[in-house]
Amino acid sequence: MTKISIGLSQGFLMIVTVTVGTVFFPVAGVVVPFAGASGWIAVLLAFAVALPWCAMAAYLARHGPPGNWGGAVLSWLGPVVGRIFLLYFAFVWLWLGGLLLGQTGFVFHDMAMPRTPPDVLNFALLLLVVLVDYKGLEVFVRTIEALTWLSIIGLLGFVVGVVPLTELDNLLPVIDAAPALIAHAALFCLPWAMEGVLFALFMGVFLRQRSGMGGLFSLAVGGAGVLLALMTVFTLGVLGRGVTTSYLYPTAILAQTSRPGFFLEGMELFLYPLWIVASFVKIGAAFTMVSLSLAGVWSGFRQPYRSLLLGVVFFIIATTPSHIFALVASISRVDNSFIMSFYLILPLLALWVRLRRHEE
Amino acid sequence: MRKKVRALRKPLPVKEFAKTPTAEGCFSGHLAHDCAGLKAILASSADLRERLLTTSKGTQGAVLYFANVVNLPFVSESIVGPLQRHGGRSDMEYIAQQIVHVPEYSLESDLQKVACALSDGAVAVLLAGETCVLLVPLFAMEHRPIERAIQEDILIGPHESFCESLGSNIALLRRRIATPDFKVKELTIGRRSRTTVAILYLERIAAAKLVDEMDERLRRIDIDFALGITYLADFLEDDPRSIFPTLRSTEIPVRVMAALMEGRVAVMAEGDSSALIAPTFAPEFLQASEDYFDRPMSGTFFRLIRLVGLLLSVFLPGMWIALVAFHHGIIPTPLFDSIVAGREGVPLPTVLEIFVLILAFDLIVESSTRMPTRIGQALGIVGGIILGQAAVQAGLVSPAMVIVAALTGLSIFTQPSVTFLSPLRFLKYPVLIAGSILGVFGVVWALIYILIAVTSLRSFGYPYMYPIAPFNLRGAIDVFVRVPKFMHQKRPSILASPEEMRMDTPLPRPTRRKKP
Repeated sequence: MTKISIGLSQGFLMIVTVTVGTVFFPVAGVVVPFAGASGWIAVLLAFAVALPWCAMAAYLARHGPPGNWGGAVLSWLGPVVGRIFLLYFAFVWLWLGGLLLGQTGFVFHDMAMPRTPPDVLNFALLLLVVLVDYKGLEVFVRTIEALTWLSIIGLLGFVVGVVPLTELDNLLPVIDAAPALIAHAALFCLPWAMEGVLFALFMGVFLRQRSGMGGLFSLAVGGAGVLLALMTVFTLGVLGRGVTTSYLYPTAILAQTSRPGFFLEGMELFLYPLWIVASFVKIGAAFTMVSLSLAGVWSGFRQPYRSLLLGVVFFIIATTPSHIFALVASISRVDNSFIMSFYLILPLLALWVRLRRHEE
Repeated sequence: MRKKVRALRKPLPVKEFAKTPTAEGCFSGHLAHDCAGLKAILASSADLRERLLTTSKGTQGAVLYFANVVNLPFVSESIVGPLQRHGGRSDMEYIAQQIVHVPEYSLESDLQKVACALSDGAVAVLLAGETCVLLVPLFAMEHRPIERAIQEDILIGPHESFCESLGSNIALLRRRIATPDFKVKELTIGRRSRTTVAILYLERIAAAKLVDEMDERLRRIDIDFALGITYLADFLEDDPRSIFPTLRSTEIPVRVMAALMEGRVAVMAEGDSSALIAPTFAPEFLQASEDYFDRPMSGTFFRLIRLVGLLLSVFLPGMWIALVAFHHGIIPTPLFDSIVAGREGVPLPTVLEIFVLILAFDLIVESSTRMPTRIGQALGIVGGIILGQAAVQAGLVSPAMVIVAALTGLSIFTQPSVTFLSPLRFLKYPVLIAGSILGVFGVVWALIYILIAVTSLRSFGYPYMYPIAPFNLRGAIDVFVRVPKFMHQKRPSILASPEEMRMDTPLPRPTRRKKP
């Protein structure tokens, strides 16, 4: 096995894909109730706010041993605090990843396969995630890279189908809500931006080139924000404010109600694969981060036991919520508490590393 | 002293031969004795021939060879004749250099090695009183002439293909690559078959580590017999258990030449009309050699057709089942009504219906492949048209399903490489099963699984999915678009060729004429 090293363009693609992940489904439904037609501004605002954290993540990633996530964290924080950080990081992504797995099954079950239990779908997807973790980070990176190009084709098909149906009236006025309300809507998007930053921090350790990371992370997270803002624009433009606010996942409704022409009754043929691929990418990223964090805590936790055990835990977490609303509430709790906590942890961590380096 | 010499030269009975030092590996200089030693090793070979001769000086000698594998007129004219006329010195070095008219020779004193050389098609010349044997490689067996490629027939461009003679194949390449940088490394594989294998590469263009890697992998092979280079692929591939070929097999010289020019390594063997190219990347299986002899636009169009063919051949049956059985809301109502009307009275479930049809198609293909051309064509007609028509009329399958199965079957054969057909023919079954269990979710699941399987592969240490993953813009464009040749300025960057630029031709522009 050759040493894992990822190029800048690969890193950029990975960060954008993971940050957008499954968020493109609920994003409009989250921001539009507060910000109205200005929902896309709220999304952009949230991702703009996260940009300084990208610089911090890049600073940290630069100052650790390359190609070893656990080793990098231990070098920043020392063996004891480093292990505590890795455990906390693993715990957050374990919980979030498990819930996202549950979300995949629930949403696909509701959208397309009402007769198939969500747990069956979750289990099938989990098998792939466990397999890719077992194969290693390099295979995961390449799989995502290949999937991203396929997703772009699907996404383009989706956009081409949706653009002609967009009504400009639904997007006006541009400033549709008070700035406080737009800021409030942006607050809900902040965890998504931080998810991107955390993944960038993780991925940065494996990047081949150490220079230019700050710009790359900012560009990737910012680019993901732009994509999500565009998705908000399309959803709102086609469905209007009333329909967008009534659904948890308005993009699914958008796909079902759009009738592009003679060949398809709806846009689901583009949307279903996108949803599965996006879920695989996001859950796979979470799984890999947990797996390598635990490997950093205890190097004796080897494959394939690590992947198999984590797979069982992910599945248990995914099956815990009994209903889609309970699941969404759980995801929100993880986002608003644990993921948001990194807005405080990362600056402290960067400051600590800087001070230590200064002393040395 | 004289008695002692005589005693040494006295012929020994063959029974005693095994107890003498000669049996342990050396020639004694006693002609009958040495010939008997060789015959003892090659005892059961009825095709071993021995031609005794006497030089004009009176020295006795023998010429040994296997019938049918050496060039007999050449043996007679260039070896036996000159030896009979020779009347001077009788030391072997002198005879090899001055008397016999042969392009190459070697002197050998080891009995086992001489026996091996005879098996390889050499002629052994023994002279009384000489403790070494003159070996002349004169392997001259009839082989298939250079013909059109059987597996990869091409429409535009050179039609020559390799044959089973390694020497002719190398000559075919050397005629096209007239540079001293073209190197051939030969080694022998197979304890019994002693098959000659050649590594072909261009010095200063192929990375040294790639050549060394190929050399090392070949040297590691220790088997009884090697039937050809494609037979050895299992020993050379990074992951031979995978269904995807990580070495490209080709019988077209221009393809090997193009690969060598990019900095790759080819390997060929005596008795095999194919060459293996390393490293090989999966997206390259979409490229045909005609693409580069055709117009860029046509090449691009056919490449895209092949891409569509690839996707249809693997995913069409699975996707069809997924849409019809699980997500029929996506299908436009008139089309769905037509599908339902066609299925009226069909007793088989949709999944079984398509499974039976694509299996029948594969059976027809498999049976007609091994048949002589005329019978194969008849089989195709009977299987494809008559069976399909009869099945629809009997109400066993619906017409739409026949179209889907036929389209799937045809799509597979859009692929230019025969080695890539097997995985495609196989993959549609798992995708079909996944689609029939989990609908579109299953099909996408299968797609991701295939991607994981493909991206985890390496070909001689290089990522198999290059230039898609890891992504390389220049390479990725070339996968889908046949760009004009003047845009191929550089060799693939991943191969790390010491000489990256492969042309210095400016973009074609009309010549400006100076105004009078």
